Amino acid sequence: MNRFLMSHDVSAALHCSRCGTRITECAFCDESDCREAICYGCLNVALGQEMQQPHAHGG
Amino acid sequence: MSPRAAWRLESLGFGDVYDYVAGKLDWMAAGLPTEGTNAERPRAGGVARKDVPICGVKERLGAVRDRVRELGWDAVVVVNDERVVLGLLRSKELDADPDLLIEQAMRPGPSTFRPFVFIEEMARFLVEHRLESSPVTTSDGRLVGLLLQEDAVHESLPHEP
Repeated sequence: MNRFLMSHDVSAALHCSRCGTRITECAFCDESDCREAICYGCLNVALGQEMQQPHAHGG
Repeated sequence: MSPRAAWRLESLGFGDVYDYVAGKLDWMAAGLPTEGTNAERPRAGGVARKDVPICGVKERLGAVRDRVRELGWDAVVVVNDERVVLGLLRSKELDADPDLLIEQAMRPGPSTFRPFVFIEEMARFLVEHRLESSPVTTSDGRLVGLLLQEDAVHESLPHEP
């Protein structure tokens, strides 16, 4: 389950290059036509700004 | 560290132990010193230019542009009285109508990055996204500096010992 983020928008044409989530703009460069677009959650994990969230169903 | 780790260190004879409630990431995000094997690796906060020009939202673009370019810069960070980042103007925004207020010309709420991010990662993203600069802030949004792509790439290359 994805956490709800403000940058997520099911009507947006842009997709996160890591997880495929639809986003309105790239979380890194803030552009709406970025070819390497990345969502806020994936960016924070990639840069080590936060830890990947545990599996939603637990273990 | 966790409260249990703090208590354990005290039991081992360390006299000056504190439990930093906000956590290790927040400590590093404030640019505070760290120890360990990764402590020597360059990070965004150390490479970001601290002398980046700043301005307020109610200034006129023309005056700000003249001041910034006279200093040899092609970017300016918009901050409030608390030095919290509100916007950013790169070269494209600086070239807009000089009569505009900064709040009309700026990119509002630009993506910002924490000082502890390793410089190799920031360099890779800045190149991939063809971005000339990115603001580095503490976790409460206060400006640390502006990280330039050229500095990030230079610092991420292996250096002679």
